[in-house]
Amino acid sequence: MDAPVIEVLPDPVIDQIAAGEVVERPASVVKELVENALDAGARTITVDVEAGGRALIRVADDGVGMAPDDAGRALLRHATSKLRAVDDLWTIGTMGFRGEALPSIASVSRLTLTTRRRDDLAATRIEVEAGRVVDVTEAGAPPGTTVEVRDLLHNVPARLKFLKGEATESSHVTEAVSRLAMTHPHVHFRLRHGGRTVVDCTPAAPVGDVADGIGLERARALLGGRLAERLHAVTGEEGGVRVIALLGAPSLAQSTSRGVQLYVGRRFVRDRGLLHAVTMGFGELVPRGRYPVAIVMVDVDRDGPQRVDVNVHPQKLEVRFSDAGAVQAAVRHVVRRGVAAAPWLGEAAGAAPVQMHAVASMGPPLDAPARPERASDLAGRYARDTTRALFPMGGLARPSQQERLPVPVRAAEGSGPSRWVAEVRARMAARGAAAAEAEATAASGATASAPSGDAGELVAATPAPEFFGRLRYLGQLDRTFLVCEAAGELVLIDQHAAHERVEFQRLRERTTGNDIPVQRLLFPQTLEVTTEQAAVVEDAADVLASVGFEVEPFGGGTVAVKAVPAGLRHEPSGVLRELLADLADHGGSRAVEERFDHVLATVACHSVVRAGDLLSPREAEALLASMDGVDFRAHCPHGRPVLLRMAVSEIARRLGR
Amino acid sequence: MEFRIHKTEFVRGLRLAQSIADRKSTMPMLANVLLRTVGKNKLLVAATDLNVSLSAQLQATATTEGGITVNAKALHDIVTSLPGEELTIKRADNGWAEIHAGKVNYRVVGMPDRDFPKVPDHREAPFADVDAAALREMIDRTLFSVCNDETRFHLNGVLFESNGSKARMVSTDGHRLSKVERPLPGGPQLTAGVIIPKKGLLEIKRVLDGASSCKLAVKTPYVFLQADDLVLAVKLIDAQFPPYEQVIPKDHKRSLVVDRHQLIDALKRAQLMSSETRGVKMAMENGKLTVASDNPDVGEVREELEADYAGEAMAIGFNPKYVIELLGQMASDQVGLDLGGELDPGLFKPLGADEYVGVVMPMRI
Repeated sequence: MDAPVIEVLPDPVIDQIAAGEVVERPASVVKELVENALDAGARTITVDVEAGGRALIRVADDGVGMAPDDAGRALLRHATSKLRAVDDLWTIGTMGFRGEALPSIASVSRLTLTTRRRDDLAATRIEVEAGRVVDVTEAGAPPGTTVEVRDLLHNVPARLKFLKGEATESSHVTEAVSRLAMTHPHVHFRLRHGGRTVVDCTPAAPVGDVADGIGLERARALLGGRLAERLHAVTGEEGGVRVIALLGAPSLAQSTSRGVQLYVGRRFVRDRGLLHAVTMGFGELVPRGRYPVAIVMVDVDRDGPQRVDVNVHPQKLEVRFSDAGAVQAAVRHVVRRGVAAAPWLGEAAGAAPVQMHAVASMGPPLDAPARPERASDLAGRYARDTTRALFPMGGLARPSQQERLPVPVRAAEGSGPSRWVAEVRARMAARGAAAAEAEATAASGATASAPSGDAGELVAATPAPEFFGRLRYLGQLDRTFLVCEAAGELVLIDQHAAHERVEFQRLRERTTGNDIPVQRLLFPQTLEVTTEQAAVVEDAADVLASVGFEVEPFGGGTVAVKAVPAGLRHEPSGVLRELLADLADHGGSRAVEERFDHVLATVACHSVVRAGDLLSPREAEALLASMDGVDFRAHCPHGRPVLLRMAVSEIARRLGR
Repeated sequence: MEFRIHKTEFVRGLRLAQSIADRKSTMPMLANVLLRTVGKNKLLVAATDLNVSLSAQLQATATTEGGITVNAKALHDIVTSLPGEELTIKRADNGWAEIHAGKVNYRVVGMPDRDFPKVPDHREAPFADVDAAALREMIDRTLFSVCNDETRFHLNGVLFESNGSKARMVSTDGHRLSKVERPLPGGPQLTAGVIIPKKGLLEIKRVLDGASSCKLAVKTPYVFLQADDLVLAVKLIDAQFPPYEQVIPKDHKRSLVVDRHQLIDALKRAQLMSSETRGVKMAMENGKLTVASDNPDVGEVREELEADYAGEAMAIGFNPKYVIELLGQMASDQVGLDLGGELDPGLFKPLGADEYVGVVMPMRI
């Protein structure tokens, strides 16, 4: 008879496999151990790390500790005090629940567990080597639990090889501790690398009334310096979703999303949907392709309709919401509100004494069309990058009224794409009447707990209806900016941005629904896309057609483009790619309108004056006059400011008059 | 190095060299022209942008042998400005070049000739004599529909097919296509078509301008063109040209014949009321073609043309620029337009023996 081919693995092997998922690097060990300490009710947690965690990781807490028998059991797989039944998972209040971390770590290191309950006379010390208990003794120790992990991954050389240098691993450890410290402001965290204190944050008061919120002081302590000073805190609740956000000034925006820290419950998570929601909340203040600095914590009511599944990722880096869209909307709204009320929106930041107002070429969040900014920020935006200026892609921003457009078909519940496809159609059809309606609904949209008044001050900086026509044109600066005089102030206008905005508005008013001219292609152009995006092509062919794209599935991950919007001659595939990605990721309506706008904006771009064009005074005056007809709060796919204002009094002050 | 050369002779080579030399390259050497003496009475003038290379062997008298490279544009401008019929160029210390003509003395910054990229060797290429005028005409009739979008590099040139007695050129930018066939006896015998890039074709045209006969050779990855003492080497585009035969309609439901000049004029007038994104509408019914366009910003235009048409009435939209450019390359008085539906490609062809067709995809307007 043949020997059985399939066998049940021995326990040590199982432990090591589990360790492979949980223990990726020293930082993951630190994370698991600190989470255990938090779950044990620790008020002070001290983490010591040697050689980036390879040589030693010691996590000591002053939590409840364990009885000798419990301590032994804690080292068994799936042994936990935190979970009793599957249903508990939905309401789990502890950081851990699987009972996997300790045995996993023990299986790939030399681990010593020392624990003592406050009322016990002596502590229990258990020594484990590569998963085998080698010694159990009594010892003297303060109340709480201390876990020492030495020689991590010493018996898994393959893993060991993948570890990076000491500095890198150390920084990962610091990051792991910071993330946990961020959402546990009442706990004292200490982290030492080779005896050198890296993190030491004393307990601080959290923001808002949520017991385990984020601490503003804590965040300042962790982020340090420049970043921390410019954080603005906001809290809000929507549909059982509580959101606490600390928002950094737009000038801190980065090219990676690392500046956005997301927490669900008190867990650090990675979630593209939430990241997108935060970015959207910032609107055009942060150009497309850049990310704000923000710390956002989301928590759901245990009794509310929203459910969170935290058991989807071995390191719990991802979670699933029962209605992700609602959570994202809540985050977007709270962030937007926070941005509108943030001090940095109105401040003349310390270093830049000149107060300047920049009116964006589209409405910033919350009907605040005037957006004071630091002079240096503006200078940065006027980088001489004509390509960017010609094809403005910046600003994921959706103006706030867009959000509030009535969506008649919302009730027609469908599943997946078909629902939003219907939504988009309705929106496209409603677009004509949208402007008027948007105004009407704007008031009702500003509901909830938005602190009113903040926006009001800013509105005051909105140009009056005939502002532009009344400007006295003084001349052209650098063939790029129009220099004008208004009552008591100097006004600089970006000629390209302004003309483009005028042209865009004109095209937009003229183009409704389906009449974008379409150029059919001789050879279908094939495009490699993801399967999700290919599904979008099938589900939303007519939505795509309304923007001018005729696309068909071509089998596999390929789609065939048969027609493109006329006028988008050389970049149609890029626009289509972005459109499909947006549709697949964010279920669409916004994406379609944004692309529609992009198509129009690109067309508009071809026919307007550019930076570097010499304008005669009469041309400049004509441009100014036409700008009065433009609603600068209207939708525009592009968020560059159009004008800059400087009060004469400010100039006088600067010149010492 | 020192040589003496006739100004007109020198300018003949420099004019081509300076148009090939690549001023924008990150390799400064590519903006230069190579001057190197060959024996006692020849001067090699060479320029390259690494895709198109020129080498010309001009008449000159070498006093001492050697070579140098000088900025091609500057040298061309200097030489054309010089008085008299002859000039001498001498290599000075530190790579400078001294140019003397009459009482004029220039000193120009140069670079050593040993750093100049190697120009493809044409001596082994299988040259064949071809009709220069025919070649030029074929290039003219296809060059305009080459795709300028650099991300679609397989369309950035003209497909050239030749079997030794007949040759064919095809180009497309994805919106329209043009195809021309001509007898080209003695031409290269190619087993498969090659794609000649647009810049190369422009330079080939320039060389053909002053030549009555020329020699052509394809030796992958280059196509070589020799006219008198000038040799161009053009690097071919290494890609697959799309299956163009498939998109040229073979049968059609409707067929229209109209005066070519009248149609061009009508389209040009209609174009005044269209824009990059707005096409021109061509509506046909019994015996007549109506060309119309409108632009909410400017106004609208309608024009009726007499046409030979008997099918059912239909209307189709085109980008007028595409049709005008195509019709401009035809020679016949009458042009035929074969159509399927309003979203199917339109086939334009001159009436007569001319083997030339153009396909234009319609616009939905």
